[in-house]
Amino acid sequence: MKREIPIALTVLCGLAIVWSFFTPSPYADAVNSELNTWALVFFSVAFLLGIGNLVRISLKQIAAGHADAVFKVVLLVVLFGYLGVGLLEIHQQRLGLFGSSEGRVVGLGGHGERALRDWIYRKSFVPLQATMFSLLAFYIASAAFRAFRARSLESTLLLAAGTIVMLGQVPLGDQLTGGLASRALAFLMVHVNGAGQTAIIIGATLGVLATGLRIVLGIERSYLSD
Amino acid sequence: MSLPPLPGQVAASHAGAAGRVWEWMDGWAGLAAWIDTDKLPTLVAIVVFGALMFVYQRRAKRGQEITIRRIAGLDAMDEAIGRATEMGRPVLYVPGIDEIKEIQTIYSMMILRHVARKTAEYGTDLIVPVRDSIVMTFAEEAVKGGCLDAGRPDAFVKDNIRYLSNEQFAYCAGVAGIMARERPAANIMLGMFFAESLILAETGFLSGAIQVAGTAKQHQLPFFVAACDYTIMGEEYFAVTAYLTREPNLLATIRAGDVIKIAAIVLLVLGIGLATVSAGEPGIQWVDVMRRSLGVSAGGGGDA
Repeated sequence: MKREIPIALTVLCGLAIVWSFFTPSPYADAVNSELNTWALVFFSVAFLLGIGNLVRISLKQIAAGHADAVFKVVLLVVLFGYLGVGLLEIHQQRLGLFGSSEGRVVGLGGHGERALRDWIYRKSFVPLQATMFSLLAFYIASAAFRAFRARSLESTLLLAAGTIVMLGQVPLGDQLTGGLASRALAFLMVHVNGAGQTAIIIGATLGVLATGLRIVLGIERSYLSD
Repeated sequence: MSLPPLPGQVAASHAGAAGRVWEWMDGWAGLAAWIDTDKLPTLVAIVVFGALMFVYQRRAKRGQEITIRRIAGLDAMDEAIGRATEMGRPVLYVPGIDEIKEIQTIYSMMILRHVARKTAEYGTDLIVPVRDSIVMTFAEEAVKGGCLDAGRPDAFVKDNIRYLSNEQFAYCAGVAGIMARERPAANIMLGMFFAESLILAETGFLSGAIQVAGTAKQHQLPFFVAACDYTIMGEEYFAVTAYLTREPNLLATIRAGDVIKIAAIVLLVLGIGLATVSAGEPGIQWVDVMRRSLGVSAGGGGDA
């Protein structure tokens, strides 16, 4: 029964969602909306499982004196510190601990309901995220340097296409080639790249369809435990 | 609270030729209230696909052999795990960053079970960092299932399924940290990836690991092709379990997909031909060209 009940639930919910996609019936919409609400509840509860996993592994590594222990300490301090700030701000809103100014709640970090939380987020997390994202510029350069080596016919074609695309993207390329670079770029992107992408999309869509049917009809069960 | 109207009371929109056919059927049996006519072609395609799938499943069960072409990236997974075993270093499996409701993530969990079986057989550590807590529970079950399949339940290490963060770049930094500090010998990245794909693949390359990546997200494929040793792309990604298990039920779905693809190619070529023929005549549709070539007059008007 440990496998049969989840499979039966998967088949029922899957068919209900498929039904709601194809039918204009408001009953189907209601079922779909209800299932989505349940999914949201599951996601919210499961978030605690993730935090539990993070804390358990971090504490074990700290206790064992692991080489990464210092990072784990920082992680736990930030995790619970930020949680504490959030809870305190909610608490002060309810009790009005810090009073109010011109109809707005005065938070720990100034005016606004979640001033300190926002301040920490904007001043630490956003720049860190931007730093990670900006690493892409360097990684694209190093990956392109390796990919654009003319070692075989395919890589030579890639090099030629890459050169045309790069020239077509910058004004200098058009200046040097009398506008040919941007026309070649448009041709490559629309007819060659577009055709390739469409082929991949058709294949992938059929794969999605096959996998979806296998799961909804209970043929594929390997995602469930024994 | 009033209940919504019954399906028969709902007015359906009718557009195009399919809509006219459907109006006729609606008048006959009232079916249009049950099905959105705009989505009729999709429904027909799914029904045809499902029917083909069952036909080939029956044939496969009767013993008809279904061959599947060699996919280098899938063969390389065993090689990568073997290399990690020889080097005494772990295997890193990254299941993408999307939620479990994304089909690529569900499929990644199925592949993870096969990878876990192999690593358990070889006695190699398998690290699975995840971005979503529901994916984490699925990953735990998949790895546990793989270890049981290998007859090595003791090979399951719960602490190796690690929830890092649900923020994209925080997760990305965490995985890059595992690559740099724990130096896995093999990185297997299969699932739904976004802007972090190149950061992960390039960090893995710099750490010297053998890398197998796969996704059906076409925008991330060039990054994996540039930075990984093997790339499983598009439809190949959804053939992994069939390829690895050779189970007739799963192979049958691949064959059904191939038949649909052949039909799509025929229709595309036919459409290109008809569109080319009618290109020089403004206002003439491919349907008119088809009527003309079949010698059928359009609504008594005859040939133009």
